[in-house]
Amino acid sequence: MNFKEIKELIKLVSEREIDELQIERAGIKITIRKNAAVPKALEHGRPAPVVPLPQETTPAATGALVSSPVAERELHLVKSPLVGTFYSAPSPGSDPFVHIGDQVEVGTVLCVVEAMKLMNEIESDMAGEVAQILVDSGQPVEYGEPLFGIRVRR
Amino acid sequence: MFWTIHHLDSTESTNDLAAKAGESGVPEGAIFVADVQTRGRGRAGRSWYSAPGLGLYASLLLRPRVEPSVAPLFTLLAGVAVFEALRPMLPAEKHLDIKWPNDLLVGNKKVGGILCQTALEGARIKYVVVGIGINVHHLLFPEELQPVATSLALEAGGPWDCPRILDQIRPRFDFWYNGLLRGETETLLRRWSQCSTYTEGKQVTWMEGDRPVSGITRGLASSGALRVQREDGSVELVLSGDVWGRT
Repeated sequence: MNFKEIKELIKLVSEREIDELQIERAGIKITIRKNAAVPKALEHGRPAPVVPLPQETTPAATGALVSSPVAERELHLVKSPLVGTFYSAPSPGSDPFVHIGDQVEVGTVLCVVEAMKLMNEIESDMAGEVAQILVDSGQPVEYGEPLFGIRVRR
Repeated sequence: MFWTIHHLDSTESTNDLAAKAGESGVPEGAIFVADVQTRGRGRAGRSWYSAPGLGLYASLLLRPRVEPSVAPLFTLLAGVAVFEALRPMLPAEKHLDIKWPNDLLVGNKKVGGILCQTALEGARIKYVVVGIGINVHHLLFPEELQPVATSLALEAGGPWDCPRILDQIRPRFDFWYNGLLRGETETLLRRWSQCSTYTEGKQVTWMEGDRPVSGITRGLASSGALRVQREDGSVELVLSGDVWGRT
């Protein structure tokens, strides 16, 4: 097992709902344990986790109303509710449901996750802007895997 | 289940109609039936040949209180219901089969298919649409489909009556649906396995990304995924897409 493989395992554990991974192979034993300080609620995705982005400085005030504290811009993650294959468009060759930068509402269809010929339409549960599309069309996705980052509209 | 049948001469897709009904709060048990689908679909928008009045095209609207991870089992459930409805209507020598996960076959030719869809609200199932398409009266298929498609009429003469076929499917669907709501997935998987030659020992090919891979089937996992054994002996699960059997 080389360094690259170990790095990939760490990445796997950190991205998935895995608390601890032990592998024994060819005389090498590796244990990767996730930071025990992570609150349970976050690990299980309830409430919906929010990834804070680095704070940005407030643009120059353009009116009397802009006096609130620096708004923290957050990405809301839309996760896969089941194991399956991710499709960004309703059919091959057709336009994707959404692009980066699109404004979406609660209930806007973002993608389809297919499992056993059941097409699961995944809707956005937040209104905002599509900031990240985290999976390529046609790729397998796991339960709870982040699919989209939505910059929540306030 | 109290079923309400909505019959249309023609529609783009009965699944779309049922999904719209699902969005607008129509209670479960609505069935949308059309003589013609002008835009019927298979997986990923593949077109489904549905000429006027030749087939049975029905979409059932359901609002099951189950986890989203259970939803893919509706494909298997509908397959069993259709299998059980058709089996007594076909001569004994005709080999009715289910190709994992959703195709109804007579011999090696497709006679019908299941296509389901759901919409989720957070982690809750808002509704499930179960689409059933059966080739009934077709006597001739477009040339490219002839080697792979068949109809009840081609296999067993006639006459066939689409509403009667649906009448036979509904109680079988009810039976398995109620079982699934009670959590009896093992019974469903066992029954599916009896209906399909794809369950065990079948040489199949499937796609891993762009790459075709082959193996031998080794039963169903509890999720309904197909267990397949590769040449190196490793067993993996196929959960998406199609498998193709060696004929």
